[in-house]
Amino acid sequence: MRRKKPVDLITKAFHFIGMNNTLTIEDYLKANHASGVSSDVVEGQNLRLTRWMDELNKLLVNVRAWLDELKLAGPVVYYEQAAHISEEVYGSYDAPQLKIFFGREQVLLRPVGTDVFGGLGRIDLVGKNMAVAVVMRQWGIWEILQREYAGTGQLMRNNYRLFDRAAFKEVVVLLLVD
Amino acid sequence: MSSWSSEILPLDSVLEYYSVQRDALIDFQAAILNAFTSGTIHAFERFASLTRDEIFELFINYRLELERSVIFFLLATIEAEIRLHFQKKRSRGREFRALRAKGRSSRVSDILKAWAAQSPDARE
Repeated sequence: MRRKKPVDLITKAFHFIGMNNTLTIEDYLKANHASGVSSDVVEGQNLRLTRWMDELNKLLVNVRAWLDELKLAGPVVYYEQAAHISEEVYGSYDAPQLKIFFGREQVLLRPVGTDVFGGLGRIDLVGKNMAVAVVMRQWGIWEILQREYAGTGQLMRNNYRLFDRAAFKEVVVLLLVD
Repeated sequence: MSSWSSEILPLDSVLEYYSVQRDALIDFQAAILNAFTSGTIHAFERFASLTRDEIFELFINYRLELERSVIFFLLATIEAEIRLHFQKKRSRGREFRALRAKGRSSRVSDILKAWAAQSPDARE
């Protein structure tokens, strides 16, 4: 009886992931020639990063205006700083963040990044005891993410509320007193 | 080989449970990271707005939680095995009989100490 040729583990693994071990890097590059060169990908990533930074800067312009209005009501001071962000896909870069003082209490507006699950970017408003996530699911539209849980602790749904002046003021109160 | 090793089926079950759960966790993590690019995020609302690093961190925590519970199961199973085996043994000494009389209130460390103090022949 003729014995079957034993299949080694590496061959099995290549078959498992849809490759065979006769494939060379040259074959791979020939097969992917039509899909373009990496500069397209890098260009796309740079565009995304530029757009994210633009939207972030626009948001900060709005927040500064809301804070300047609040200065009329009491002691509000803010400082702009650079936050260092490191993202797997987009690399490392600096983005602006705001350190805001309401009296002696501090709230930090911290950019998180653009590579977020189901979104185009996220900032966090961080208070003494909690943080609120503000996400951008469409370019230029920032929303507060509120997670709604069942009594068992299981997530029921995510609610999104437009992040405008009224919402910002409510969130700040929540961060300062909670 | 003592009869001890032939009675470790429950320990194997705990380890089997661990390996199935761990594999499920690895598959789940892979599905989520794939959804980053495929856009099928609606299936994973719980992870909305999280960064890749935050998702990795969550899964590390899930895994630690799983490992902690498995360690607890393992210890509980080992303790149950020790007590079962101890109850089945014919007693040789006064210390053994006293421990058996205490039932569940006897400490596992005392059982093992009494066991170790016996002669190798008696331990088999």
